[in-house]
Order: sequence, then structure tokens, then C-alpha cells
Amino acid sequence: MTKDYGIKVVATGKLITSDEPREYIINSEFGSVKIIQEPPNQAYQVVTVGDSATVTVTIPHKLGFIPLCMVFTELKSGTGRWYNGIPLEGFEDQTTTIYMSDAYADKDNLYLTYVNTGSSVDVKYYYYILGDAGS
Amino acid sequence: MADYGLKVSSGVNVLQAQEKDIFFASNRNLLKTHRVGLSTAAQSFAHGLSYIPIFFTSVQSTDNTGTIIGNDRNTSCDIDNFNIGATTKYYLFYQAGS
Repeated sequence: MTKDYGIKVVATGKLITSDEPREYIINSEFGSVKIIQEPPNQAYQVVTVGDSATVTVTIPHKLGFIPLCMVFTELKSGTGRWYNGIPLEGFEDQTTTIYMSDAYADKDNLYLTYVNTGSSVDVKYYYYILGDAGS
Repeated sequence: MADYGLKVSSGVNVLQAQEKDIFFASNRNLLKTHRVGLSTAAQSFAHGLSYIPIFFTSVQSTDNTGTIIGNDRNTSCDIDNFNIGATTKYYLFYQAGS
């Protein structure tokens, strides 16, 4: 049975009867991803990765399933260059000694691991945990 | 410029809210889900769109963990097909990714 209820908002200049999904701002027929968790106060977080240290940041999400997660990192403080995903060794430049070695989620937490082969560095990160099961 | 539409915020006056505090605004496009699934084996399938869509994936491991979005080297998409690795949760959206 065709749904004859729901919410539709069409983009300016497009018809509300359109069959083209891209012409809608929102259409409850298609659903969307939902952001369940961001850092406190929607502010980037900072972790200090000491001299020749490896630090794993653990972010509890309490969802009970493996969620889809999106992570952004500024490896070199103050550069304004943020990487999406896992910025591996050499991403920033060949002289930067900080990188991310792993990032994954389980049903309880999101884990981000940073490795520093040089002197102490402050790393900024931001994350989005989506309210959709990754399994 | 249109001065009408729908906005939703939480905890702050929607007329004074910053962009980050607005949950929904009818002048801001949302990702619209085309297809969701869990692939248990490497496969390719026709996504049925005439463009390369935005997609999210999370590779699931036997130790009950999943990779973050953007860390999947086994999945790709072209204008016709979505090519995905084993044990991967995927989301395809109607918006074009290229």
C-alpha cells in the first residue's frame, strides 16, 4: 500500500509532487541519518599525546549496538587542517610525528588511538555518533 | 529571499539560534536514505541511480567492532554499481557524491 501520509519539504522552485528524491529537503518516505552524540557543548576535544606515547581516547555512547561514527582530527594544533577518518603517518607532512593508528566503535564506546613518535603534542578531535546501527 | 519555512531548535529561541543549534531547517538539505543493508559477502549490485551517491560504510569485525566512516578500503561506487566488501554495513543516499 502506498503511504499517503508523512512530511515532505521540497527545495525552492521544485514541485511537491516531484518523483526525484534530490529535489526534497526532507521527505519522511526516505528517512535520514540522525546524530545522537557529539562532544560536550559541541566543542572540539583536546588530548595530549606525550613524548613517544600512544594514547587511546575512549568515548562512551551507551547505545548498545555498534553505531556508525564520523571522526575529524586536527593533528597539528593551530594549522586549521582537519582530517576525516584516520589520518595515518605522513598525512600532515613528513616532519610531523603525530598520527592516528586506529579508530573503531563497539556497542559501548568509540575508540580513537593516536601515536606520537616525537615530543608532546596536543591533538584536537571532533566526532559524530549516528543513531543507526552499524551491524 | 524566502522568509518562510520550518525551523526546529532545542533549548534556544529558534529565531535567535545559531546554525549549530538548529536541528532542522527547511532551507538546509538533509541526507535522504536510498538503501541500507549489511553485506555478509563481497558483492556488487546496481544502486539504480544515475549518479555516484554519497555513501557511508562500517566494516564489521568478528570481535564485534566496526570501523568509523571513511576507513573502508574495500568499498567503492561508480555511476552504476556499489562494490562492497564482506561484512559491511552500508548506507547509500540520494545526494550525489561527485
